Amino acid sequence: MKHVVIALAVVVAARTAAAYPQFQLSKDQTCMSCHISPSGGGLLNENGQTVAETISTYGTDPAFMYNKVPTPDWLQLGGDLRGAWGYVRTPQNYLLGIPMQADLYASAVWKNFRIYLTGGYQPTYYDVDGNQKFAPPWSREHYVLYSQDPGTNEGLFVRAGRFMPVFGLRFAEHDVFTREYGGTPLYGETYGVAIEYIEPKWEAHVTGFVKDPIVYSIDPSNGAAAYAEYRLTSAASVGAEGMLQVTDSDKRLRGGVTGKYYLTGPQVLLEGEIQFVNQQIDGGGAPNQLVSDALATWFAHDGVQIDAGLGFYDENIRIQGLGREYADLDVHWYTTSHFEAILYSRFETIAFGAGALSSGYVLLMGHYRL
Amino acid sequence: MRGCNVRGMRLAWFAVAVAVAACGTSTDDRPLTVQYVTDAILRPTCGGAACHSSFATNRGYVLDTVDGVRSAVLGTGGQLPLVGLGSVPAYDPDNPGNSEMIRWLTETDPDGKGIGRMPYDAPMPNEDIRFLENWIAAAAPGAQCDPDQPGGMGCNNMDLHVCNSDWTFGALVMTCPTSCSQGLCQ
Repeated sequence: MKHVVIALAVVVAARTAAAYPQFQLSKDQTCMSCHISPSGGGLLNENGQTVAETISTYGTDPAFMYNKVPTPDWLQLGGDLRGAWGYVRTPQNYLLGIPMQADLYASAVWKNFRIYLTGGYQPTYYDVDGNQKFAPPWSREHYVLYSQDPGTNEGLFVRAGRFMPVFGLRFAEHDVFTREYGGTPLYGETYGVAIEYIEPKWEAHVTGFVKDPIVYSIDPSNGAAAYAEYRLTSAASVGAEGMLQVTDSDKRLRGGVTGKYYLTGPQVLLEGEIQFVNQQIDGGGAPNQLVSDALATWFAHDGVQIDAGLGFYDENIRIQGLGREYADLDVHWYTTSHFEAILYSRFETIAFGAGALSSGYVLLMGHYRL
Repeated sequence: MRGCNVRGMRLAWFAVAVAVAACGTSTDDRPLTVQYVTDAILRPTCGGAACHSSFATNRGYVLDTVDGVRSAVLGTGGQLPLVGLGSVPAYDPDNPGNSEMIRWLTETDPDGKGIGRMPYDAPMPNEDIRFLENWIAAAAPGAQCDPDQPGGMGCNNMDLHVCNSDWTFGALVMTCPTSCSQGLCQ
């Protein structure tokens, strides 16, 4: 039973150290304003650390290990630890308490070039006898980044290595439908080359990627992804996305739009993404799919953030009864510059109102940033 | 006014979702092929990284590749054979609801080991379960027999067939002398 619970917990609760797109427009204009990576997530830059201190209730030194382990200017170190406890109904009832993430980051810069490495926990697997095994540490991301102007967070960037293509809003929660079914699933990193251009007013990312020949990827496809975002004002942006994925047995063509609007008065950020997918399956069948998410984020109080989200996924819009919907309510409390407590909750239905089974969870998660 | 904008956007989003859900037809004309079963249903629903992916091979099932699904259905091939529910057949065209895959999708704890209904994180839509039953009732095209098995033959319901390269039954060779198990005459 223990291995069942662990597997279930990873299924429903695992998160990766992604950025919070809720902060874009509400705190700053681009992901790179706060992160070292052009796609956000992972290591924070100096401004990102300042934001982490500013938004937290109790502050504390935001630097790596509270600046007790100083590093030279050319080297940045960090890490993320996450664990969750809670109740899941699927429709069986489970109580869970598990570690979820243990990743370390290192990045070194030399002139216009930067090396970025992520290493840590990977999911368990089963051997040929059916015994659950802990897998050795792995590196989900490792790449070389060329910056046209390394002194700023703008301009031309070229990345080569293993990473997640920039695509859509990039929520941290992998079970958001536009991630799970939208081309950027958990452990979807693979090898590729990206050309990216970022300015305060707009940004564009084009990535070519290949089926990973070395490290396991959940989405073994060759293809390309493009995402562009234009900021109409400092509080509003629109985006467009497209992706082609080719596996050994199907092709998927994705196209979609994103939008964000920050209401400065009530401090509420609205954002949404809707994606249309055409899947061409070898041997016949070409289902058209729809994936969408909408999120309202209220920066309610010093250190407290409340997210209310809705998601919809239909694996074949021609067939009735295949739509799935969820409603999320999440409360984040940024206690210090390094620690965050999050209450996640979800209620999910199939073909809303048709009487099919539903599911849901309530999880309390702790997230510690080194 | 801003509150109205927030409510308006939420209502608009929900209206679009409901409208799309209601637009579908009740006629299920999806192709009954192993490729469709794998790429449209099992891979996105069951083949998650920590679940029945090629990496995790949770309890021996690999459901994110066509070959993995074939092996899971037949209990043969390069992957682990499926765990099995005792005397329950891997797939039963005459009674699809009794097939192992369907029982995991519709029952709570089918093998009595405290393992809940699949998928763990959220139930599979009934329309997809019906589609899988239809595929099994059609003798699981594309996953009927393994051409790499001895003699390039496979059986089902006592009938031994030549196995085509696309994992479908070819010509009838003979009736199994005693029984058919895991695609081979015993």
